[in-house]
Amino acid sequence: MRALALLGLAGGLLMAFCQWLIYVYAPVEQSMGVVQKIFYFHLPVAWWCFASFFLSCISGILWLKTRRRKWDILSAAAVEVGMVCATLALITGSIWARHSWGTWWTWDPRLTTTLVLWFIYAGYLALRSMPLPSGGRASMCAVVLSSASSTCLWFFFPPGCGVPSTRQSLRPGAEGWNRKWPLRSLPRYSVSACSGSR
Amino acid sequence: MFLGQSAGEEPVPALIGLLLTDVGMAASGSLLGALSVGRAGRESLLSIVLFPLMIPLLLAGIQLGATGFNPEPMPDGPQDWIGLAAAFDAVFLAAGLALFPFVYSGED
Repeated sequence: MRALALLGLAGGLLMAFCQWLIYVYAPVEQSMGVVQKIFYFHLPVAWWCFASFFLSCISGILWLKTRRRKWDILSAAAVEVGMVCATLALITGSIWARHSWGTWWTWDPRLTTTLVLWFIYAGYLALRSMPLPSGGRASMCAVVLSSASSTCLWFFFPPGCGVPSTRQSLRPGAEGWNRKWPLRSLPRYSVSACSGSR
Repeated sequence: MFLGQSAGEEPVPALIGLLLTDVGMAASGSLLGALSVGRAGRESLLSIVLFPLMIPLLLAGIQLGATGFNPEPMPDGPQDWIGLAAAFDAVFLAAGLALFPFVYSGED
């Protein structure tokens, strides 16, 4: 418990130091201006969202293997942290997109897949809050987590893995792995499927 | 033909896509179908959890199905999408093999 408090204190101090680095030490970027500083939040929360989801998958599998309650609790906690990070990543990304692309939202592959990811884990949290027998619910949650992480993997495949591509990602730094997904056409397909025409 | 659609040049990728999408939907659906077993009201939960998970497979199915009706062939060829659908099937069939005992253990 004492070690936990010390770690928390150290984390807080380091976070404060990072704020100083972001706003005082780092110079204002020339072309994008002060908005660029949002990347100091956007990127870390996106990474931590993936780290949390990965941890939740591992602990879910460990629950299935060992049936020790701590793994179940850990996976649920990891998903909650990951959801906070994913939400923050979407919000900060949207603010940046408004400045840079002039729009709050676009059906870019990376944006869309992150949103789908958000929905997957929101579904998990809904499942988690259902009044079910605790053992069965924990197993079901672990199964959902392991399926969800396999879908996650597909979303973030590196280039040249045979992942289909028909559309380029607008995201900065996407040149190396422009997978050109047809996600933009997904809403159009849904609309045309409903109206019976294309 | 129905709604005045014409068939494409290559029906084989579309048929393979149909088969793979079918298998993938059955595999993922029956794995997560345990969610809706028992009490009423869980069916809506199944769709909330299942639909986002199936999006990669549905995208592949849509793309491959479209080649069956589009007279112009796909610019990059259908093999990547077939690979994606096959990979999804493989993952969820393997997950089903490994996880079925946990899902349907009758603990409820």
